[in-house]
Amino acid sequence: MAESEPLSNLPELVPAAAFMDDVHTFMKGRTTEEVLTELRTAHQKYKYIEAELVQRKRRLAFKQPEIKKCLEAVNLLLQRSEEGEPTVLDFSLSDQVFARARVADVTSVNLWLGADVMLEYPLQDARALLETQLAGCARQLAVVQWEHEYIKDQLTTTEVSMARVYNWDVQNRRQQAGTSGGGSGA
Amino acid sequence: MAAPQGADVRLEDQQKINTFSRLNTRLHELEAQLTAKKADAEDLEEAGNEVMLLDDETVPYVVGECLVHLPREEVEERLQTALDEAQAGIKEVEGEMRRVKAQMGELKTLLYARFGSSINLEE
Repeated sequence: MAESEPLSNLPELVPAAAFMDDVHTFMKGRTTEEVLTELRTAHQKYKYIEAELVQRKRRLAFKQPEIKKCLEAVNLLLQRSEEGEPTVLDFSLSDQVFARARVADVTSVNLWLGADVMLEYPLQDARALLETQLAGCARQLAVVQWEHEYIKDQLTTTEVSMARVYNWDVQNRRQQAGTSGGGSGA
Repeated sequence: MAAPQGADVRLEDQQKINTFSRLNTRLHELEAQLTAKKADAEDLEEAGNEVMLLDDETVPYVVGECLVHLPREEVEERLQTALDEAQAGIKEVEGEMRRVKAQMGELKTLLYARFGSSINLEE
């Protein structure tokens, strides 16, 4: 899992959390407080990025069914036009008000492209475009998923490092208390 | 999430812990997906039963933002297809959850064997 091909350049932008081979060596010449503060800052940064990624993931997960809904509608129009039958449908005028329409000979639809632009497409092209968008959405979702897992690894590594430094400090203090205590007793 | 004392953490241990953490996150996501899909399947099933009780020749069926008047048989077909899809989706998520859980179980055994009670692998 960890060795999987990177799907994005996030690791170039966000450096990975370094793994401490040996806490004792790592702590040489540094105070516990110093190191813990450093780790905590890194942890906060990773958390911040994680929150952003989770947000993006949620947006994409929301977009997917929206595109599917559009695709379904275009597909229905295509099917109906092949059958050559008019379609009777109720469409919403406002949230609570529906009007009935008879739709026949539909050959094109208007797709909302965003940025205040709407473009007319023949049904086939509209379907192709929506399918491309759906595939793109799935691809982006895979990338965000990968990025989230990358950040998650860094978070976990940092958390474990904090625990290790903390434990090292406790042990170190105990040892020092033990030696100095033994010294005064002798 | 973990506070290994006693045995020191080696790089391979760290990687195992990372993988466990990933899987744990994934499991929670899958759980949420499963709940949503199950609710969908339930709604579709209910809709199918209701349509069966109707005598009307055409039934309004939601496509996109509209209610399209479709012949009853077609609505039944569409509902059945949607239900089949939802159920296939549920099976897929459940299978993935089983795989994730099995992997987590393996890692748990290894990590508890190494760190004992000084590691806490939350679910």
